[in-house]
Amino acid sequence: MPEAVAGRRRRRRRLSFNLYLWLGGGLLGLFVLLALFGPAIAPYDTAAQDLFALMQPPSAEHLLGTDNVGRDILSRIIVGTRYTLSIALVATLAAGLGGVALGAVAGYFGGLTDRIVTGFVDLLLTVPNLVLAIAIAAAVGASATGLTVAITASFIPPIARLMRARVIELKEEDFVSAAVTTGMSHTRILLRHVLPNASTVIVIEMSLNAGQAVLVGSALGFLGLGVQPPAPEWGAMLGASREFYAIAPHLVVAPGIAISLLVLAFNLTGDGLRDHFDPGIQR
Amino acid sequence: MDRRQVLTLMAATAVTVSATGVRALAQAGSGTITFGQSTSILTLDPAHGAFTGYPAGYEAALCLYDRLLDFDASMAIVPQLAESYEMAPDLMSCELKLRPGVTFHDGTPCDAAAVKLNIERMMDAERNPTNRPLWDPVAGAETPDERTVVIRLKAPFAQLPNTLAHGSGAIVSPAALEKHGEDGFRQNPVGAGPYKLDSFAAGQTLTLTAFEDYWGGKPGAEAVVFRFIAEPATRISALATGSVDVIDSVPVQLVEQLAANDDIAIIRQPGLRPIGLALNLTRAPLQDLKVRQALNHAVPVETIAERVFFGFAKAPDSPLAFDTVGHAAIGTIPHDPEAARALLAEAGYEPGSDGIMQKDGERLSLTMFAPEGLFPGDIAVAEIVAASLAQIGVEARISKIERGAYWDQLRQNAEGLGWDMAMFGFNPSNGSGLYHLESLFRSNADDTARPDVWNIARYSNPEVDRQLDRANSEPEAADRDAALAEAQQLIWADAPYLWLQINENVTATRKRVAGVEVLPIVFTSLRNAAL
Repeated sequence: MPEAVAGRRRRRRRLSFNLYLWLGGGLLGLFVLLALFGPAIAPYDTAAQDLFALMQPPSAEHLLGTDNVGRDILSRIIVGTRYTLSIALVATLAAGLGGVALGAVAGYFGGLTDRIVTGFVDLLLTVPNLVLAIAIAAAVGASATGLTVAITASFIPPIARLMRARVIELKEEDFVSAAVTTGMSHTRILLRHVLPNASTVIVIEMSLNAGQAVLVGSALGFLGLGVQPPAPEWGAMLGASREFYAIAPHLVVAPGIAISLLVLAFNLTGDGLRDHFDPGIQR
Repeated sequence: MDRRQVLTLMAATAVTVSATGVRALAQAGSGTITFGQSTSILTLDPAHGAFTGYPAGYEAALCLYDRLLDFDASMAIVPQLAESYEMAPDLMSCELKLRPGVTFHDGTPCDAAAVKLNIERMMDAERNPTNRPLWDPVAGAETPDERTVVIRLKAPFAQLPNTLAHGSGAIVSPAALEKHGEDGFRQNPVGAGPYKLDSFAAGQTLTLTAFEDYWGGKPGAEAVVFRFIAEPATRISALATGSVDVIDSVPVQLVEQLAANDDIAIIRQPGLRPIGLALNLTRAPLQDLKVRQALNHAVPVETIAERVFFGFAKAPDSPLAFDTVGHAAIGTIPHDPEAARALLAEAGYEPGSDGIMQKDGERLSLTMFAPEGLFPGDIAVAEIVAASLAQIGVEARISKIERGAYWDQLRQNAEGLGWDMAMFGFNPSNGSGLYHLESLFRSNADDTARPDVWNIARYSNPEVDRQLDRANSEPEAADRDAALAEAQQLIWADAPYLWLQINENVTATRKRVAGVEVLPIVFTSLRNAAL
């Protein structure tokens, strides 16, 4: 490949990296700020009700209007960020850890270990992740913890498979064989040589998963399997306002847009990271 | 007493006759009425679980079956298959005279022998495990002649006519029961009502056609179709486009929009089910009457009824709903946070550093169980209650319970109760206030065990028990009502519930359909509808 063309490609890649990652990262940063300082920023107490101002349309007083028991929707969206964001982040990280551990063990040791782990993971994969999450949330009970566990469990399988495949690839590399011949322990080889070389793929997958986790978390909240009322979780807000859609659409629109924006933030970040790290994919 | 009852019956007969007259006038067309129901019909046997699912099955049963007695619009007892009835003065038996010449849809006669077989079937707890408080007092049935049935009771039971008028009092054809068996009958129902079975796809649609030989004359429509449409928005658009003629359970917030349509009529009917929070009287803080009164003063129930339910609800004035037979207005509890705080202070509570009331270092923090979608606006109301209690320094933590598990969570033994307050509402499906009070407020035999019926609060007041016994055995209706009023007064004063609201049932119809009725006991009846 001539030097000039490769240079152009690199520049183009950097440009798209800038755009996606900056947009996604910026948006995500904004949400993180809201999550951290939500109660301080919110104009009203999220539990404060005004039964004489139910389902008010957006106004100067209530920028996004009030909900079906007269609470300020903007404040609830702002404070609700921390539920959705922390559930998505914790679940994504936990699923990442669990998936990496399972995948690494299965891929590295192979044989019976591989068959058992892969069998288990494949079994989990046969159940659609939302259905699996519903089953787990129903068993654990409606709470933020239950929700997190449910999403974590449903996101472990794809990461585990990805990790396993990558580890099987890496196992054949010379530097791993070299490490084996020097008598390095399995744990050490996995941590020092295999994991760092697999991390790119995993990080990209996880950042894309985070967006998915927001959606699954909100869906479970919508179905009433999320946090306990009156906590302002977005999915639950969407679910509670569904029956008022015909007379007060703003009740549904606000949490809907918030969810979309957060998913967009994660997806842009994920795409940006992929463009940056994975030279195999070119735009 | 005899004379009064005969007079009532005569007046009632007159009403029925005029209703039949209206139907005869309205039956010019012979169309098909389609009913979009919010719940699905699964079985159509009064025994073996009684017309599931509720209330769809009961609504179909109202068209398919006749009962010995019936309720009129005000829940008073009127004749149906029995032309007249007479309770013995000791309330230990009841003699019924059957209407002559009535046949079931399969052509077999609906005579005393058939009625006796039905009564015995409903008495049998094995074949009929549901509605036990209604049927347990019955000891047996005798048939002196083919038009007379005498029902014997185990103890004085003034509510027997209510039991016979209740949906589970539907009289089924013994021949059909023989033919299809106890298991097959639920899908192949045969009764003596105005409509007979045409086709039935359980959980989806049920089609009934007019029974030409009905004793009350030809029914108002050629056919009635029951269609299950779960989603309210879908039901409403089906009604608006005319693909169905009647829908039930219209969300109150959508009524205004729907009423603007000139072709659609709204029928609203106050229900018999008062919603409230049962207070767990095994918990120390709630054993204090002052605390219970404070809780009742803290919640703006009038505002909830008016604003959250758009006026399609009312705050209660007694443990019974307004239209329940035997209801006595005791008084309303004003929303008064000041009074509530004063009551808590009298009970020895002081605000702690976090603003929550404390007594001897114990924070007044209560766990509230609420389901999602079992009661109107349940979660919204729970949230309002929690916010209102916070105003008087009581912490209420809402625990949303999955619908399927909810009833079981309420009816635990005392040790297994996870709640301090639990949202509950009882629908006295036989219209009797006595049945309602007995189910919820008669002392349990053992408060540590599962409640006998629905006294989940573990309320116990010997004087209330005494008044309920009186209401069951006084020969004069006026004395029974007085006993019931006395009991309501006592219960209201003891406040074993945080009383909330009584909702209305809202049904909508295309105006071309006449005679659709909504009974206070939830059911939308097409029995007298005409098209």
